[in-house]
Formats: sequence, C-alpha cells, structure tokens
Amino acid sequence: MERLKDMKSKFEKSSLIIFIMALCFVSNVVVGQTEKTLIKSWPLSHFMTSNEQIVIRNASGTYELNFPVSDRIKPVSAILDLTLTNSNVLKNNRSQVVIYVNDYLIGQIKLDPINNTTKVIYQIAPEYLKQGYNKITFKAAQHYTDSECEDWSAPELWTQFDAVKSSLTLNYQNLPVTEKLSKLNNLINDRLGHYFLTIIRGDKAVSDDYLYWGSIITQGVKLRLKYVPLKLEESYIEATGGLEENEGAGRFKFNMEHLTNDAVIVGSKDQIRQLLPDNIAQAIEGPYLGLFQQYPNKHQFILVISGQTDDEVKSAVQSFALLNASFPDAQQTVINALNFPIAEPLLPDKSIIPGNTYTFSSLDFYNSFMDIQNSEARLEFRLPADLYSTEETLIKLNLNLAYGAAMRKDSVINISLNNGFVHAVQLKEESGAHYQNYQISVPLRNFKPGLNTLTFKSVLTPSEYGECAFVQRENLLANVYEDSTISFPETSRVANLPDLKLLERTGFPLLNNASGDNTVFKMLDTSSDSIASAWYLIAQLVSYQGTPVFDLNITQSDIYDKDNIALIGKISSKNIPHILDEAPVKLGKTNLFPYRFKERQVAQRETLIERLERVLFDNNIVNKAVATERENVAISQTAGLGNSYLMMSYVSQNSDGVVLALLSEGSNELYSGLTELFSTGLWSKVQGNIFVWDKDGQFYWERQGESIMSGDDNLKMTWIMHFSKYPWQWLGLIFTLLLLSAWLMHKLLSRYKKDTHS
Amino acid sequence: MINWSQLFFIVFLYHFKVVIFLHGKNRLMTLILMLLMGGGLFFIASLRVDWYAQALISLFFLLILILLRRFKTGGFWRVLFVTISSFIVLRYFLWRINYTLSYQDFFSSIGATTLFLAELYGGLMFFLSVFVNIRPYQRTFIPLPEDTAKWPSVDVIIPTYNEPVDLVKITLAAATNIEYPKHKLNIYLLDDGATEQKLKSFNDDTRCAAKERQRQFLNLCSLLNVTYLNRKENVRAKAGNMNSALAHIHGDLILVLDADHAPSVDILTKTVGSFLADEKVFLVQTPHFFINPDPIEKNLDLFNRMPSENFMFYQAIQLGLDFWQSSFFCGSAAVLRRKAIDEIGGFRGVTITEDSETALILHSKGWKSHYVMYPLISGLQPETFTSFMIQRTRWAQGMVQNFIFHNPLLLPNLKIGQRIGYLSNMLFWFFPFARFVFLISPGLYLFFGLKIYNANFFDFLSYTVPYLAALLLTNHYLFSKVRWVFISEIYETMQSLFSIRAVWSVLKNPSHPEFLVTPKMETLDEDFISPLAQPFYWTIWITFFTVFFGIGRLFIYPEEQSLITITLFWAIFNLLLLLSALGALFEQKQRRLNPRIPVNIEANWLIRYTDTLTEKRIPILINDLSMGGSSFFCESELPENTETINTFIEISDDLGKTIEIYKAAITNSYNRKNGFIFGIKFIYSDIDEFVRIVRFVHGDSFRWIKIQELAGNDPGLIKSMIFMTKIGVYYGISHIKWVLSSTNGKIKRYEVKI
Repeated sequence: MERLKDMKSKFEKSSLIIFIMALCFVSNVVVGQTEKTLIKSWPLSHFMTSNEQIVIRNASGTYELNFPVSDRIKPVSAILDLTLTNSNVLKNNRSQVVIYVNDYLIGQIKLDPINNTTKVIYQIAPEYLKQGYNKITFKAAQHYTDSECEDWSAPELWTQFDAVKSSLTLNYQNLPVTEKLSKLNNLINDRLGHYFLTIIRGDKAVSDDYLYWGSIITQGVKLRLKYVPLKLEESYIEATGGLEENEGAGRFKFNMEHLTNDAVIVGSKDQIRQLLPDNIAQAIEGPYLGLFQQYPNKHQFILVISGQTDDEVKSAVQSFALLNASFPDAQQTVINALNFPIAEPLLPDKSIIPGNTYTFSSLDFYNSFMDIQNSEARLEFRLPADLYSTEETLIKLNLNLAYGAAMRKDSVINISLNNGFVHAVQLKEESGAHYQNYQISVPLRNFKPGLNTLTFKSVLTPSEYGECAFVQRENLLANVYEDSTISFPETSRVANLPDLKLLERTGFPLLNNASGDNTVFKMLDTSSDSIASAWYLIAQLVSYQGTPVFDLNITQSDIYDKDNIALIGKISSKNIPHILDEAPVKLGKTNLFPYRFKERQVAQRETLIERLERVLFDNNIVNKAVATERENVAISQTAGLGNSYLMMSYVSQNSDGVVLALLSEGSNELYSGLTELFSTGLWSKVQGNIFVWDKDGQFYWERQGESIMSGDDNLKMTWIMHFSKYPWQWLGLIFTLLLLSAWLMHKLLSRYKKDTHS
Repeated sequence: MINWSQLFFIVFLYHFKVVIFLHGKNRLMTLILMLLMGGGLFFIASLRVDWYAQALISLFFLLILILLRRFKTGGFWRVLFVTISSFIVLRYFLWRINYTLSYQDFFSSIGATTLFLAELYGGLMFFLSVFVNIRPYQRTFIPLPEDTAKWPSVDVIIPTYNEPVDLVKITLAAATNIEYPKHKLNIYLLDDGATEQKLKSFNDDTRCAAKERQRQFLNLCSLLNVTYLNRKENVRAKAGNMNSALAHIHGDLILVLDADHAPSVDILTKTVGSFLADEKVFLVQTPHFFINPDPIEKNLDLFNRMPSENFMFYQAIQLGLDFWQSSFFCGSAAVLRRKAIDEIGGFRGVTITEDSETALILHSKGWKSHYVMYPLISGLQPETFTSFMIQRTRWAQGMVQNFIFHNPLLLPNLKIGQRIGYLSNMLFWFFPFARFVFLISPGLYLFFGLKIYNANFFDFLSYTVPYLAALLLTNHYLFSKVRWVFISEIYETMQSLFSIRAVWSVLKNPSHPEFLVTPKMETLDEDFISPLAQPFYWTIWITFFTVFFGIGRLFIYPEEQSLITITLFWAIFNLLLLLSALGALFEQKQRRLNPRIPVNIEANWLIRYTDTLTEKRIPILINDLSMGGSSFFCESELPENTETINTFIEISDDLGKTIEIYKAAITNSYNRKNGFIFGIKFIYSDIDEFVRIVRFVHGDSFRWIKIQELAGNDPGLIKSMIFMTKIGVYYGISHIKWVLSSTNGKIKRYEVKI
C-alpha cells in the first residue's frame, strides 16, 4: 500500500514536470519567433563554496544561497527542484519550510515525519528574478512537541536539502550585446558555465609580440572570470572581403558565421586591416579598443584591440587588462598614454610583506558582525611563496572584538586557518564585553605560501535554554573590528625547488610578486592549441596574483636568458630541444620515465627528548610515521606520452632557476588537458616534480632528480633550512670546524708557551 | 642548496692558512684567522636549525664531552673539550638573545631581562674561566746556584695588626727556621697593633693593650733575633704598614708572610731561584695552605673529605693565570723583588686588596710573575662564618675597587692574556648579584606568573639542558680534583646575601670600604647558630613557599605543566643549596686553639727512666700533629713505671739515625684495634725548643703536599652530587631541629661590621 502511494506520488510529480516542460516548449515556440529560449540547469551545490549539504537546525532556522543571472541574458523563468529530508520526530502540524526567492514567497513545504523525504518543484516567475545575484532563502519552523514547551536547540530539529540532487533550472533568452566598453566586465562572463572566447590574428605568422598580446588579453579575461573556467581558442582568420549587401556583416571583412564564441581580434593596424571595415581601421590612430556585435549572432561580441605600431598594440592590450571599471561608456576608444605608477615595490592586493603589521581593513576585512545567521567572517591575505622562517616564529593577531550579553559561557569564536582550527576566544563575560588588543599567536609554519584564509566562526549560545523557556536569540552577537591587526615577523625568502605544489598554490617561481620578469615562456610549437595552452597557463598563474602581469617574456626563440624557463607545446621525436636533455622524463625516440619501484623506510624512533617528555609529563606523543624515501626505476622504452599530458619541473643546468615543461605528444590537444587540469579538482592534487594526467582525470605524480634552494641572499636562513633538513650534515660541519679550531688553538697555545715560558 | 665545493674550498683555504701561519710569524694572519674562526663558529652557533637537529648535535657533543672527560687527557684534547663546551654555551646564548627575549609585559620583561643579565654574567665568567684555564702551567721551581754568595739578600716581613701574640710567635719562629744564609736573611715584625698613635692613645684600654702587646713582641723578637718595627699611625692598613717598613729594610727580595702563615724551611730555596733566572720577575707566589677548616667545611664536616675551597684557586686557576703571565700577589707566601716595589713607590694601597693591585700595576709596567705550586706555608682560616664573611667581603670589595680604579681592559701595556686573567678575577666578585637573581627567579614565575624565560619544553631540552650539562661537565673536567660539584654554588649562595650589599656599596662609593682584619684563633665553646643566619631563614621560607606554590600551580595550570616542572626543579635545587647553607650556619663547637694536622710519620717513642737511667724505644706511628701536641698509634700500651712527663718523640732519618728529639708529656690514651692511641703535649723550656717544635710541625712542606694529594680526590660527578645532596639535607635539617629544640639564649650575638 505504501509502495503504491509512493508510486502515485512519483507519478503526480513526473506529470507536473512534463507539464511544465511542455509549457516551456510552447512558450519557447511562441517566443522563438522573436528570440530563442535556452535552458541551463545547475545543482544547488554549484552555488555553494563546497559540496556540502544544506542543513537547517533548531526550532527556527534559515539558510541562504545566491545564484547569479548575467547581464547578457533575460530570464524567462526558473525552476527550483528541491529534494529534502526532515527529521522523523517533527510534528507535522507545526513544522514547515518556507522558500523565498529574493524575499518573494514561492512556496512552503510541510515537514512530514513519516514520509520524511520530499521532492518538490517550484516555478519561479521571471518577475521575481533580476540580473546580478539572486537570493534563495529557506526558512524552517521545526517542532517536536505540540506545545510551546520544547528545547529550541534540540538535536532532533533538523531538515536537510540535498544540494546535489536539488537543482535550479533557468530558462532564458540571450540579449544583444551592448556595444559599450564599460560593459566589458559584465559581458566577459555569461554566468552560465564555461566562458568561451576566441582570439583572432590577422597575420598568418605568429610573432613573439602576438604571443605577448594574447597572453595579456587572456589574463584580462581570466581576471574578470575569477573562478569561472575559460575555454580559449586561438585562430588565424583570412579576410573574405566585405559583405556589403548585408548591413550587419559589412562591418567586418570575414565570415563571422564560423564564430561560435565572443572574439577578440588583435594585431597592429597593418596586420588586421584586411579584416576590419574601413571606418574602424580609420579609427585606429593609436592604441585602440573597440567593441562590436557579431553578425548574425548579435548576442556575441567582437573586440578589436589594435594600434598603429606593435608598441601601441601592447598599450592597447594592457589597457584592456586594466579597464576594470565602468569606464569608458563608449563603443571604442584610443588610448593616449598609460601612466604606470613609479613607486616600488608594487604588490598584488592582500599581499603581505614580512616584518609589517596590517589592519584587517587593509586586507578588505571590515567590521564583521556575527550572529546566529551569519556566523562566519574571513580574512584573506597572500604570503610570499618562498617565505621561510625558523620554527618558533609567530604571527600575532591583536583582535579588537565585542560580544553581546546574556550568552552562555561556552560561547566562543573559533579561529581557523585554512580550514584547520588554531585557536578559540571564549566569550565568558555574562554581561558582554569589549576586548581591546586580545592577542593570539600562531606559528608561522602553520601558514601556507600564497593565499591564506583565517576564518572567525562564532558559536553563540543563549544563557536561557531548556523546555518551556522563551529563548531570546537576538542578543547572540559578536563583532571582530576592522581595526584589529595581524603582525608578521621578519622572515627570509627561501624555497626548495622544483616544487609543483608551490606552483599550484602560488605560481612560484614562474611568477613572483605579480612579476614574470625572471621567467621566459618558450613555445615549442606555434599551433593554436599550444598557443592557447601557454596563454591559459599564464592566465591561470596570474589569477593567483590578482592583478595582470605585464613584464612577461614569451617567445618562440631559443634564448634562455632568465633564471626560470617554461616550455610549452607538443613534442615529437623530431623536435626535442636540448634543454630537455636534463629532464627527469625524456621524450622522443626513446622515452625514459621513472616508475615507482620500492621505498626505503626510515623508522622515526622516539627521540630522547620525546621519551623524556612522555616519561616526565605523561604526555601522549603522537607516534611518528615512518619516513619513506621512494626509489624509482627509470625505464627506457619506445612508447611515449600518448594521450596523456606531462607537467614536470627540474633544475636548470644553464641558469639559477628551474625549468617547467608542459607537454603533450603529437596530435593530442594540450588545451584539453589543461582544461581538465584546471577546471576539476585535479589542480589541487599537483605535487612532486613530475605530474602526468589524462582527460579522465587519472593522474600520477613522482619526484625525481635534484633540488635547489632558491631565495634571497639570506645565507643564514638558507643554511637553516638546509640543515634542518639534513641535520647530520650540520653536525659534520660543526664538528669539523670545532676540530680545526681546537687544533689551531692548540698550536697557538703551544707556540705561546714556547715563546713565553721557555 | 649549499655549494659544497665552495665550502670545501673555504675549509681547505682555512687549513692552508693555518699551515702557513704556523710556519710563519705573521701576526696579522693570526688575527684574521682567529676572526675567521670565531666568526664562523659564531655564525654556525646562531643558526636556528629546527629543534630535533639541535637536540641531535647537543646529544652528540655531550657524549663527546663525557668521553673526553673520562680520559682526562691534556694538550689538544683539553682544548677540544673546552672548544666544544664553549660552542654549546655560545649557541645557548645566541638562542637566548635572538629568540627568548621578546616583550611579554612590563613586569615580565623586567624579570626576564634581569634573569638574562644574570645568565649573561654566568656565560661571560664561563668564557673567561675557560680562557684562563685552557692550559694550566705548572712550573718547577728553579734551584739556586751552589755558590751562596750569588744568592740575593731577603727581608722577611710579617705584618700584624691584632692577631694574638701566641699565633704570631709561631710564624716568627717558623721564619727563623727558614733555610737561608743567616747574613742574607733579615726578619721583621711589622706591628700595627702598637703604633705610636695607639701607644699615645687617650683611651686607656687601647693604650695599655698596645703597650702590653709591644712589650711582649719586643721580648719575643729579641729572643728570636727578629727586628721589631712599628710606625706612627695606622694609615692605609696592611699596605701602609709594609710601605712604612720599606724605609728600614734593604734586602734584594722581600718575603711577605701573614701573621698566621708559618713558612716551611724551604720557602726561599724553592722561590728565590726564579729571581736569579729572570731579572724581570717581580713576584714568586706560592699557594696558601691551611691546616684548619673554614667554617663551612667545619660545619658540614667536609674538611679533609674533599678538596678545600681554596684548592681551586691555588691549584688550578693560579696555574692558568701563570700561563698567561698574570698570576698575582695574594698578600702572603710570596717573594717580591724590592727594585720592582720601589719602582712603583711601594706597595699600592688605593684599594683594600693591596696585593692584587700591586701585582696588576707591576704587570702593566712589564714585570713578570711566577707561580710555584708548592705549598710553602701553613696558615689558618677563619673559624666562624662571621669571620669568613669579613674576609670574603674584604676580597670582594677590594677586587671591585680594583675593577673600578685599575680596570685591566683600560690599563696600558698589559698583554691580552693578562687583561683577561685579571678581568676574570675581578668580575668573579660580582657573583652575588647573579646568585641572588637565580635564587629569586623561580618565585617570579611560580608566585607571580611572570614570564621570565620564554621557551617551550623542546627548546629547553635542546638548548638549556645541554648548556647546563656542558657547564657541569666543563667544571668537572677542569676542576674535579680541586672542587667538587655544587661546592661553588654553596659557597656563592652563602656569600651572596651579604656580599651583595658590600659590593653595591663599593659601586656607589668606590673609596668607601675599610680594611677589616680577619679574626683568627677564635674558639667556640659550644654549638650555636651563626648570627648571620636570619636572611637565610627568610630566603628558605620564600623558596619553600615557591616550591609549594609550584606544586599547586602544576595542577591549576596543566597547560603549563612542562614549564612549571622545569621551574620547580630549579626551585628545589635552590632549596637544597639553601639547606646546605643553613647547615653551614650551624656553628659546631671548636675548643682546640691549635688545629691538628693529619700526618703519617714513623717515629720512636723514647721513654727515659730516671731511676734506672735507662731508656726504651717503642716504634710508633704519629697520626696528627699540632703546636699543642700530637697523637700517635702504638701497638703496646704504656709501659709500667713510665713517667708520663719524661717521654720523648724521636724522629730518625731513612738510615735510622736520630735527627730530632722532642720532649712530650702523655695526656691521654685509649684502646684501638690492634693497639693504643696516645695523646701527648709538647713540652719546651726555652725558645730554642719552641723553635724546634715549630720546625717539626710547620717546617716540612712535603707534608702539605701529601695532605693536598689525599684531599684532592675525585669521586666522579654523580657520586659527588649525591654526597653533596646528602650533606646539605642532613646538616640543614640538623640546623632546623636544633633551632626548634633550643632556646633563643643559645644564639650567640656578634657585633659584626661587614
């Protein structure tokens, strides 16, 4: 019977979906006469920071999430498909969830303790939606008794939305592109998933300048997209002549119907003149930016970046990367000059220089008001990639904070660093308090190179609780003030290279402090795939810096005049550059690759000190894991990479830095591999100095070859880092020096004695 | 990555330079090398490598130190030992400076800075001590030529102020026993107890006492053929007294003896040779050998069970100083060249330690000193802790005055070794400040929670424990035969509470201190608590409560468990030291005026029977000697009809020929296993017999060497630590029990001016 009831319910729901889909189809047909209606669907987890479930607890709880609607589309309707499960002890006559979109009520769900898994679908009217961010709010009223007498925070009061199975479907129509440069920020991100862009050159030959221009354009795009994956294409387009019979197409002298994406034409006036209509070509009197609709697809844009000379094009592409405000409000502009600031050193946003103290506000953390709904605040900052310090070095937080009265003594603000708990501030004053200069120290070695996040999460509990008690929760307040400070001690700059993990987190050493001056990016071939891959790699690394990097060296030549070298492209047995001779993986006619064989286990015995600590203080010391040193077997063979991709880094024999090679073989698309690497969780798994992966996300990493210490000229810190790693070497050095010193002193004393007392 | 090829090149170059240097005479190269070596070690010691690496090298080097200490070899291995321990100490201080002195709060910072300064002082003293003692130089005495005509004339001067006549009498008699051509030896008694000023004093007691004293001395001097000298008034204390005598004496050399320092017969034959060998020698100093215990030895029953406190200075440090040509004049048992003294206008008396001051000035004039480590006098130490403190306070104040008025770092013409040697001896006397800080520091944390030592448990075990162990091992390596472990701590702790005021008063007013003569030949009729005990009661109470609070804190603050435990150990160690000090302040009775000297002399007991005019010889073994008498072991009991006043002690040479006979009277006897012990009293009828007895008791310097060798044993670090702990606890508790069971009337009151 139950089963029959369930089937009936499922049938009713399916009918409803089919009906709505049919309705959509009909409406599309009607609308299609003017604009085609498109559909896009996402699981709710897509809009959340992590793949977590939406859980609403307590007698009264709320959860909010936001989804974006791009300026480039017009929402026709939306469907919210929710799958939720509630506690099976709730009273169904008093328990419900109410759903709002942008504070408009769109539905309510009765929470049934028996049929406690519910699937509902709500149609959201377009009037409720807006461009930009839209808010979905789930408000739950949950009770386990029929009376008012209950514990509002009882653990059985919960409802959980399945964020993976629940989805949001958007029906929309694309809007024609507004031909205003001020709209670029909104245009470059349709918020519908991957963003597609084609960079077009008008010159068949690929010049180093072009490589540079494309790289800066990709950076500009990637910085606007932030975390949205970029699908980039590079192509050469030949002019087909003006299609003057067609008014729209007459503006560009090539067939745009092949363009399926937004596009950028870049090149000097001479290089791209044949692609441009005369009026645009004439307008290029200096560094030029112009934004136009494509034809026939006016929903896509084509951006012209040009200049009369190569230098002007360079200025134009740099301008494109920098135009991050709603200015200019015009279709095209000619840049007269770029006045870069002279003051040095310049650093990306939220960058930390060791030895300084920063107010939270200077790191974009403003007064953080925490209550029962918004219990979290984040402080983000970037530490230098090669930061190294001694183990006792501490980072000091001087917190100014306040919290409300009538809270239970177990209320706290938990402080986490990169999702790892580090400290708690107990809020123990019943009458509330204001703490000035509350000091917390965290070992510097707990921090990571690159972006770090300190999270302040309040756990606030009312002093009144229990059944039949009115529980006031409006008093549950805490605030961390923006004038709180974080102090960083003087440290040194040392890194052990090669380290792909460091590259993954910070872009180091290819990019450092938003500068690529110490690196040369070398193209192994000039296929569109390789060029797009190089640009994408650079853009990805630049995104960690938060600001465009203009001092880049990207070339096809074999001039390796920088410390670090990045090799990007396809490799074949006929084309093996000499710089790969020293690589731990060799590709070509004969392929050499290190395979894991056995490992050497070095047992970490309890040290005398630890033993003493355990015996004296009965402290439970965590047993040390065995240190393993892998031993690889290098196998030389005829077969090579195939459909896999290789990223490896090794010590450069010709300079003081490292070589990074990003390679694919033969016809295998390198860009697809990069997309796989960057757009999935694969990138966070990069480590060692050899990383091989494929399109299915399978990966293999290894460490092989020697390493070097890279850093500033702080000899002391370099030695500290080295000898911490190799204590026996330190011991040997000291003992040798002491022996020599003792011998010298002995000889001196003997001579003194002879001179004085004989 | 460290470029190892560069490193090896540097090491090679370093080695190469050393080789060049050792075969050349390039002083600049020496300096550069030393700087390179020092700089390199300094740099390496300052590296804050992770704790496990620090712990590893600490453990390794401590094992090396233990190994080297076990073999106790000298030369290169001694240098290696101190180099390694210096490295550990240097590493500790660089860590302390760089990583533990962060600002916590106002009061904690004051406490932390004070503690650090005290530690820094300790570290400085360590390095100075290591420098001084790196290669002790034990010179053999230079024999005199056979032709006595070439021997220089010597004036023996014995300054006296208020010492009992009987005490001075022994010294004068011993001086007349000195083996030296009589026409080249003149003995002078410089009596400051009967100056014209005192003889004409308006105070009847003073005047009468001075006159009586002068009368007795004049009589004694005429009997012993000693010249009696006094002066107009008491100015500039001992230095003034000796300078006044310079106008009356004209010998080439001057032998200075304190009034209670009886010389052995060979004091000149073992010292004067140095003056003939080198005309630039102004001083030959010999050790002070004491036949009685100091009050701490006496009260803790340490005398002759372990090396005396002064052994360290006279058997180790002076040897080290001598290597650096900076062994200095210690006021007595020394021969000085008259010419040198005249060159600086007599004995210096700006400070109250005229001896070291005079030596320092003469060293700065290019004169040389020799130290002959051969005990050639036997002297007396203060009997009570009060007297002991008077003596030590004078030394402390005098050396601090020297530091202020004649700072060896600023004085021209001194060699670097001499500067450091003197600096080491002067700075040592600032120890009361450091010791006081070490006493109170645990309380600052355990009582008040002040964060005075900013280190975690791993740091403590990686840096502090190796540092303390290195100090202990070095101390043991350098001084184990002359100073047992923790003895320095007890002596310094006991002195610190009083010396701190005295040293501070000198720092405030360097000209202020007065010369106070150490009382001698005090007899203590009964046990009593030293009147100086009161500050120790306070300190011990505070330390006890510190320990008590510490234990409580251990439970209240479990998160600070390791730090509290460490501090608690420190407080308990302080408590043990204070208990030992308390034991030493429980003055044990002492009725004997003349201390007995342990000996082992085979002799004959000669019994003369007046009725039969026969005599009988019984072999005996003399166990101890003193001016009052002796005790000996005899297998047979007292023969019948023996007249106890008509017995003699007969000393024979190796061939059995009688060389000396001393008349004695049997005073007591008692049974002992396998025989009997007899007590005798020497009997003399004239001054010559007295002089002969003095020669027998005090004249043989070889005997002092034997005693020193017996006392200079080394039971090992652990055993001596256990021994000292037991002694400290036992006598400390005895003191407390005595106080609890006695009445206040038994506490003897002294008027003490310190």
